[in-house]
Amino acid sequence: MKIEEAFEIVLPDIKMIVTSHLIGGSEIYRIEFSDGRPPLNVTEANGYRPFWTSVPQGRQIEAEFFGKKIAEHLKNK
Amino acid sequence: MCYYNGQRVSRAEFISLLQLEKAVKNYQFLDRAVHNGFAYSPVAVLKRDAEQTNFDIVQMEWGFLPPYLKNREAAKNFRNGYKDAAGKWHIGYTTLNAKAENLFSNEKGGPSIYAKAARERRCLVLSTGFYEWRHVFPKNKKTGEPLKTAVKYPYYISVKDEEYFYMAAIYQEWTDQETGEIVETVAVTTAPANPLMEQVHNSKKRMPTILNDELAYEWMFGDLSDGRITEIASSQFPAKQMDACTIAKEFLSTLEPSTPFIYEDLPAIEYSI
Repeated sequence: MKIEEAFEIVLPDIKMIVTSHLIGGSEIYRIEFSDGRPPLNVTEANGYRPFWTSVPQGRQIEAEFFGKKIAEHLKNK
Repeated sequence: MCYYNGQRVSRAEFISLLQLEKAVKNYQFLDRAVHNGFAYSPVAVLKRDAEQTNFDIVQMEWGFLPPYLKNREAAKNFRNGYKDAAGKWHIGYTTLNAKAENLFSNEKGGPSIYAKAARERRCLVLSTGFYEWRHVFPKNKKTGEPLKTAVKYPYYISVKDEEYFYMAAIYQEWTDQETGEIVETVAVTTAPANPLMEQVHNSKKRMPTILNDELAYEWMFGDLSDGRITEIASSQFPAKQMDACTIAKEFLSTLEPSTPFIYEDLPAIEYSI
């Protein structure tokens, strides 16, 4: 289920188009990038403290960086 | 405690994340509206996990690359063909698909580049539907003979009542030895066309190997002989469980490429098969 309309986040070197979805009770964000890298699915998981992670596993560094940008965008909108 | 993506999480959270991975596979965004194979774009693939007991959902580059190709330039030459320093043309190889009959020996009877992957690295490509072109040869108005040039009509083919279905595939990890880039590349296996696909893909009379749940499980987790691998890869999904509809010729550039489009002059597909 799509939660809200797609939104765009523009960073100095890259543009992200983000869609948000509710899947199995979890919020998941699908990011498409302007630089041609593969799309990325991220979600905020609960660990020692909440952290952004990729679904499926394998792109943790990107997930943490871009996940935080999504959180900032949603907080400031 | 467990680790997900290298991060420490509780067992409950770990299970929740794994369930989320599986739920994501049922979600349409994993599969773009159109995967044009010749763009060698990433596709969503299920492969066995490290414990060989469950599956991971990953993205792979469509277009199997043998490990001996040293870099992207060599991969490009392999796919597109190239002219060497002496001006001799070397043909390219299309490895988007692997014919079931050639998983273990190639067309010339030699060893197949797919053999090791077929034995050790079988996987499933997730699909919502695929596209094929039907070739129709119009008749010469004066002589009544068919013209030599076919008119091509695109079709969107899907499985009835299934949002997603599985295509049998094999994968190969490939490393660019110059940049260190590591990608998993994949080829979808193909079977002889069933009666529906014989009419649609009437130029080659082939179809992707579509597997039901039981065969998909066996393909992924079974300890299979070469014969059984070939048998599954050659299996024909029942035509009566499939749908084929014509779509606009410019479908690749449209937002909803699977929207039906009627061609007045096109003979209908025969479904009573």
